Amino acid sequence: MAVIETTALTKLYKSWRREVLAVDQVDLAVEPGQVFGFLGPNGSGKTTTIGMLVGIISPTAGSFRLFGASSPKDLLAARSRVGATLETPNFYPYLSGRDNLRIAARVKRVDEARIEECLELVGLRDRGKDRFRTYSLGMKQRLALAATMLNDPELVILDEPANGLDPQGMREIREIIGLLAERGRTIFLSSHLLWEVERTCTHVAIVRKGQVVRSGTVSEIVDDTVTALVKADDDEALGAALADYRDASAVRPGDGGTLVDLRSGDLAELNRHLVHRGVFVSHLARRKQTLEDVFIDLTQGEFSSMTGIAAEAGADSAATDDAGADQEAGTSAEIPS
Amino acid sequence: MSGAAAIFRNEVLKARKRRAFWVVLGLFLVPLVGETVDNVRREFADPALSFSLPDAWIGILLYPANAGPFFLGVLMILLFAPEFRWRTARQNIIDGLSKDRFYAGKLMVLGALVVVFFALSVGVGGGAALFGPGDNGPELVRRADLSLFGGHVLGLILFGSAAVMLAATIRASGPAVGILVVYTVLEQFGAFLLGRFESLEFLSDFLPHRIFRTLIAPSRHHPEVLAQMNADRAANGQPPVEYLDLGVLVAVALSYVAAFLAIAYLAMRKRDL
Repeated sequence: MAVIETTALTKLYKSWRREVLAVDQVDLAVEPGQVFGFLGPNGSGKTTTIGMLVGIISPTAGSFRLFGASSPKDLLAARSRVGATLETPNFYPYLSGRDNLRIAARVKRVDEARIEECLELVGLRDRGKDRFRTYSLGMKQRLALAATMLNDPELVILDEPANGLDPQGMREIREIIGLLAERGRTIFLSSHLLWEVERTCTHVAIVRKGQVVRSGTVSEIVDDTVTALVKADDDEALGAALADYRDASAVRPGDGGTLVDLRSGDLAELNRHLVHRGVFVSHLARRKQTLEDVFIDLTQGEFSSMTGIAAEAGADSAATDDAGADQEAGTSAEIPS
Repeated sequence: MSGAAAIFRNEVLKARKRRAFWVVLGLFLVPLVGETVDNVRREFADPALSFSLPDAWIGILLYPANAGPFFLGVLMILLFAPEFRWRTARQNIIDGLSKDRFYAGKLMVLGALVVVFFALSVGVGGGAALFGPGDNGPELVRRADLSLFGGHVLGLILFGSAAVMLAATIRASGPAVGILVVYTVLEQFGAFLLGRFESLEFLSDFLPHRIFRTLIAPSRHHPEVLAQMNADRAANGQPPVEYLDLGVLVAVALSYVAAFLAIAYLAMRKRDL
């Protein structure tokens, strides 16, 4: 049984001036244990879709099931198995973090002893007595995660959990998500951070203008062909050498050099071939199609707001990962293979 | 802990840790306590100025019956409307509370505030009169006093339910409090306009704030006060004051309460969070 199942789920916002089709017949199926990435540009309907699942937005048409439940009464019971946070963390600003969790715990009908466990898990135990309004954005996000986990949910829905976080904060969120995934929880994650999703998620759906344009496992969506970016002083000699290289399935210009799709993925062998042909490269780097490449292809220019974030993500990736020599400096979203 | 108890405990936690709650309650209490202290002090100074029960009830309730509902309305708005701005209403629903239960929690707040305001209204002045230097009568509360108490309670509920409606529909505390204040002025203007048409003049008696004024008027509940007031008016050449039948008054007031709460409920149910 799917944990989340939507059928032609639709939301139409109407006002006297105009109509906006925020979600357009979305079909999704999230199975138990999946870490499901829900991607799309700003305004593509991600949060609206999640809002319908958690009961704060009424669908205009279509239907959905949570843990197989579809009637209002059954959905209310099913939601007790869900932990969710939407957009920004929503708490009472004048209450302490601990009091805010107390309110959430009573709503979720869980033992208040869980509050300390969850504060500990997100590293906020020492700041639990401080008012929410004094928290940094990262601390607010972590408190939201703590609230989400109070009832030890089977399904965790996180909408942009890394929004506004610094690299360290992003890493902490990623670790918590990893921990939840290890515990077998189903995670439904909406995010702008494509490299983060590619790293974290097992399955992905990409939405554009309210419609799901691609979904599947990450490996199904991202082409696993290894491409080499080659630069040499003598382009003519390089072209001639690559023309008869048997391991190359495709050769094309790109990224200020020549892109070579490799059947074997063996860059050392390519380098040996070029040296053997008297071509000495000034640059040789592995390029692999990323989720961002797919995303940009599918959403075509709608992601302008995300390029900055991608650059930030690239910087974070370089800063926090042992990317090795394969990672090309300056490219924002390359994933070390 | 049952669901209702948990919801109520949450509402108490939200209220008691909110500075604005204590400030507004303080603004209501300071004049109430000041007036009571003044009454007792004057009685000590001049025993002829009796501040004893049951005669003192009319004076005791004069300030709290007029001001209390307004302060209650403001508090109700402050405890409800910001839940939309902070998106905590949304989070409560996400956490598993149904919209109905969330709304029920606010009705519990309304009920609790009515009890608190009534207890303070009656308790502060009544307590001072009961234990003050004056001699209380054998009957501490007369039937007419009970009727006045009922009018006060209904007035609190009426204002509170209007505040619930404003909070749920406007979803912002500043504008909601503003409308609560401005409405009383607008209603007077509306009553003035209705008074210009003889066939419509009777409708002004059924306007919400006029109903409230009638509910808390001592002369509506104490016939001897009404008789004295009309005698004074007759002496000044003014027509006598006539009130709606008590049953009609209560029925209209309850109808307004039901309508306000129903509008708030529909706003909660129908609108996305």
